[in-house]
Parts: sequence; C-alpha cells; structure tokens
Amino acid sequence: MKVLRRSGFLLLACSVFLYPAAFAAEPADADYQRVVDRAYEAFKDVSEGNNADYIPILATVPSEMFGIVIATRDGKIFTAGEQDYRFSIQSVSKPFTAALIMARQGPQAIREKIGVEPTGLPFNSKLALEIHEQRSVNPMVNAGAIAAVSLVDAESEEERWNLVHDNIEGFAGAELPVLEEVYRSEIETAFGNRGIANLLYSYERLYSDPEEALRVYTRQCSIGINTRDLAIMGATLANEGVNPLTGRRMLPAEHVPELLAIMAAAGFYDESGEWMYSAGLPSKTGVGGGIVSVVPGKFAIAAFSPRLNEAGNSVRAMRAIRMIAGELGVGLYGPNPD
Amino acid sequence: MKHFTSRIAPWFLAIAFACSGAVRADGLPSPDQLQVLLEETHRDLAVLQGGELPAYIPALTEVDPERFGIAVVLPDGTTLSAGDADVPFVIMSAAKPFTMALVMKQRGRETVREKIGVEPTGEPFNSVEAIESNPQRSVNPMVNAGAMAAVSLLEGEGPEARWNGLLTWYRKLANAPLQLNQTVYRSVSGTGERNRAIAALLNSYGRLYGEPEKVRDVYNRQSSVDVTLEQLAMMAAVLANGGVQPQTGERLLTAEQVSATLAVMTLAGMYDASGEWAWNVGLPAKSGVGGGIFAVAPGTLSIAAFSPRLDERGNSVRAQAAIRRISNVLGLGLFGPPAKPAETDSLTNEGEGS
Repeated sequence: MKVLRRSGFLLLACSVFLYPAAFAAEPADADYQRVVDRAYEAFKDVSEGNNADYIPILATVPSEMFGIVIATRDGKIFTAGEQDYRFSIQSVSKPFTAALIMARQGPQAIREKIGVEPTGLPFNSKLALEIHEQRSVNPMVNAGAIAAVSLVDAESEEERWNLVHDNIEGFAGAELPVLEEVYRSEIETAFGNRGIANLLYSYERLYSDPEEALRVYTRQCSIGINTRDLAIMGATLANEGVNPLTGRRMLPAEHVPELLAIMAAAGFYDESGEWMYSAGLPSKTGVGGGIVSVVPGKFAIAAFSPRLNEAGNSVRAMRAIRMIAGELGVGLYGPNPD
Repeated sequence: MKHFTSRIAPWFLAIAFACSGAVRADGLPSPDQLQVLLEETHRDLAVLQGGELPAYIPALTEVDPERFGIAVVLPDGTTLSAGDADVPFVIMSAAKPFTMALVMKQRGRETVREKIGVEPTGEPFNSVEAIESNPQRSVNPMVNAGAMAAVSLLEGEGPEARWNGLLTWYRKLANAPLQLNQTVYRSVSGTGERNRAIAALLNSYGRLYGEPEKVRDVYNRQSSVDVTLEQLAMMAAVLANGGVQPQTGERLLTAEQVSATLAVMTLAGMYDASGEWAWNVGLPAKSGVGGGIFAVAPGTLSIAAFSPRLDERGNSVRAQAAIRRISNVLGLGLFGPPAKPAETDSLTNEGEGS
C-alpha cells in the first residue's frame, strides 16, 4: 500500500514535468485573425435553420447576427462580426455550473449524484430518466443541469442564485445581467423542465425544492452574454481553470480535463457523436445561438448566430468553429475533412 | 532486496524522468524508462482481484483469470511490454473500431455516419432498447448492433469473401498472421441469441445491409480472432500513427478516417462506461470481453492491456487500471493534464474500474 501511495508522487512528478510537451505548436496571432476572418466570410450569408421558438422571446432575436471570437489562454482576443450583442446563455451555462459543483464539492458529487454518461437522447428527454436504473444522466442535458443547480450548497434560493451567477461572471470576467424578458418568457413556458425537476425529485436525484431549482436554473439560462464573454469563459477552461483576464481561479486544474470530457461526450446533446466525428473538440452549445469550443491548454473559439438546426445547435456557429478547428489543425484526433 | 527496490523505484523513476534530460522531443521518456514504467505498473496492479469472467460465453471462462499484460507501441514501431504480452487472447469487441475503419476505407466516412450512426446510445453494448428508443434506429459501430451493421457494409460477395477481406485487413494492421480461434468461434456461435435478435431487428428497420444470419456469422468470426497483446497494440499503433503501419510503412487509412474512428471510440468505446472513461483517462479506447483494451494517444503511442476479469460493464478491471496509470503518468489525456494526480488516485479507485 505504501508503495502505491508513493507511486502517486510519481504520477505527480512526471505529469507536471511532461505536461507542457502537450502544448507544442501554438498558432501565431496572425493565424488566429486569419481563420476568424475566413470563417466569417465563408458563412456570413448562410441562412439555414430557424431561431428557437419553443421559448417565445428567442424567436424575436435578430436572426442575421453572426459573430466569432477566439480567446487565447493568455487573454488575447481575435474577432469577426458581431461581438457585443447580448444573447441568452441558455445551455452553454451548463458546464460552468457543473464546474462550480466540482470546485466546491469535488468531482465525486457530479459522478455520484448526477452522472457522467451520455444519454443517447435529446437534451430535454424525460425518457432518459425512466430507462436508466440509477436515474443517472449528465450535467449537459436539462435533467442533469437542473440537478446541478439543486446540488449547489446553499441555505436559500438567493444564495443559490448568487453562487451560480457569480460563478458564471467569474468565468467570463465580466458583469453579466439577467435578460428579464427571456426569464419571464422561459419560466412561463417551462412545463417540460418542471416535469423533469419533479420526476428527478421523486427519484431522489434532485437535491433542493424542485420549484426553487427550476427558477434558479431558468434564471441561469437567461443570463445575457456576448460572444466575447463566451470566448473568455472557454479560455478560462483552456487556461487550466484560471480566468486569463482577471487571474481568478475558477476550477482546480486537475478537474478541467474531467469537465472537458463530459463536454466532449454530451455537449452537443444527441449530436455529440456527430460533432466529435467532424470537429473533434469538447464544446457546449445553447439554443440562444451560442457555442463555445475549447482547445485544451491553448484557446477557445466562441461563435454566435441565432438560427438553429433541428437538434437545437446554431448552424453558422457550428460551421465556423468546425472550419477554424480544421484550418488550425487543433481537433483532438487529427485532421477532419470539413 | 525486492522490497527495497519496489519502494525506491517510483522515486527513482520520478527523479530520473524529471532530471535525466532523457525526455525526447515528443515529450515521452526514453524506451528504457517506459519499460520501467510498464513493469512498475504491471507489478503494482497485479494485486487487483476485482471482477468476473464473462459467464455468457463458455469458452471465455476457461482462461487463466490471473493473466495480465501491458504493451506499448511507439510511432517508429518499437514495442515494449510487461507481463503476458505474447499469450494469445480473443479480440472480441476490440475488433470493432478496425472493422469500422475498413468500412470507411471502402465506402467513405459518410457511409458510417448515415447508415450506422455515430452517437453514443447511453445503453449497454447488447441493448435492444437503444435501437427501439432511437427514431432513426441509429446506433454506432462500437456496440453490437452497429458492429454487425458495419460487417454488413463490407465489400465482398458472400460471407466467405467478406470474412477473408476482414481477416486480411486485421493481418495488415497487426503485420502478423492472425488466426481464428475455432473453439471460441463455436462457443460464440452457439450462444448468440441476443445478437441474432439484434440483427433481425436492425434488418426489419432496413439498417442491416446483408442477410442477418450471414452477417452474424462474419461478426462472430471477427470477434473470435486470437491476438497477442503486442499484436493488438500494433493494430492500435496504426491509429496512433495517423493511419500508417509503423513496421511496414504502408498507409492503411487516411488521417480523416483515423480521426473519425478515434472520435467514435471516445464516445462509445467503453460501452456505457465511456463517459466515465473519458473523465478518468481522456484517451480514445476500445475494450473487449476477452479482457483486452487498447487506447490511442494520437501521434504519440498506443497502449494495450489484457487481463480476463471484467467489471459489470464488461471492461477488464486490471487493463483499465493499467492504461489509466500509464496515461496519467505520461500526461497523455487529450483533455489536459492527469485527471487524478497524486494522492487522490488511490488504488481502490483504480481497482473499481468505475
């Protein structure tokens, strides 16, 4: 047993020493700007897809908007197109609240109380809860994300919200307002999520009052961010958990790969396989039209465009990120044809 | 003396890795140091006793459950191993990624995406529900249903031609004269009711592309190929090496075919423990109920490990622990540095294989 414990030091010593080798060959600044511009030009005229309409207010977001931002782990920013418009973060918030749980309560809380396996089903699936004996899901789908909010260690709804909100602001390194109109529209129509929250609660896989969890979760989804904020949130993960603008540590470095692993497995809902097959980067998408992808140890790519495909993922944002990943050759598995 | 060595060696290794300057340009320690790492890992993890032999395939319960080996292949074809590296075992599901790759080679990446699927099912490897709950009847080539669909898409007139093409393909990847294990083949053929049902169901939805019983027969032969650990690691090394066989230098796959294979392995290679595996290890991998697992660190190396006892998801307990240990020590995980450095990586944690 002692020997094995000592082997732990071996792990630490070697990994600390060898890890920088994985970060070879970073793209030059000019390359970042070039690929961002190229992707913007290539897809700015694409008009496929539709705004999300199951949340009424999202149908009113100007469909034409399109922005792309790369943020590096040292905080350099490269942009093309719209970068200041505040859209609702929606599901892109999910990994960051999972990070809050990991940072405050340890990664075991996610593994044991929520789950880490892909469900193979859409993001709002109730069936996923019914067919898994442990009622285990993952924090990237609605059920697991509502469970994550309920798991935040808080005495009151206000404290719960403040912790969630402060955490997302911390990742972005910016003050982020709640888009109250979006919140009202969403909470009034949150029938499916209310069903999920209560179902989870009945299986003892929700850890606060269901209505409280639903309100805080919906408010979390209604946080307004711009494409630049989103890129910095991703860059914080690329930078091993430290926000490159503020220097604030948001997640212990050893938990960053764990979070990225769940994003790879489930960040694109039931299109996650397709996405890894074609782009090869851990990512998270939201029906507000935002997507963020992380190149571990290097940089993040964020893109925003409101029109979504059938699975609920932004058409232009997907194409832009896929093209950039391809051109810079940063897919985790090597070159992709797109 | 042995006691002394075992207590000192990890320290020695750590210091040697950090101070010797022998770390190569690719960030790896020298082959000699890797060899020490494999032997250390093998010795430390041989104590793990968890898991069971797979009772549903009679021939697989006759193997020595204590067998345990680890092998690594570097991009130049250098092979290192510790333990039972040249004892043959049955490849079982670890064959699946290679068949998927051949389908892509013959028919393109889109064929796999459209005719089989690339999404994780969220279900066990032999799930019928996965097919029923998905409106497109789409699965992926790492579970039994998708693997049989892949076999049905192989070029060749009739099962014999398909099988010969497939065996030739595996031999090219391994650069070795791999053979069918007749005993296991008969055993698997006699007990495959569930796979028979899956093949028939897929066929009824128009998602199997050949006569179900003939497809299943080729699939059973594919599963029954004998490999040694070094051979399996060599097959995996083709994927680690961007599609080029390290020993023959022959390009067997394009880089795009390799990246697609590795992506699907990440999401579904360890069955319904794939999310957990990505979280713990962060390398694309594929397991088989024969007790073998291989993992690929793209551009760096391949690792294969073998030990017959399986956890409840069907993945070898010791092989998982061994690959996890080596990946963490070398910092190979694709999502960043080791997920579990130092004290948090307890033996119990590894031993659960969970």
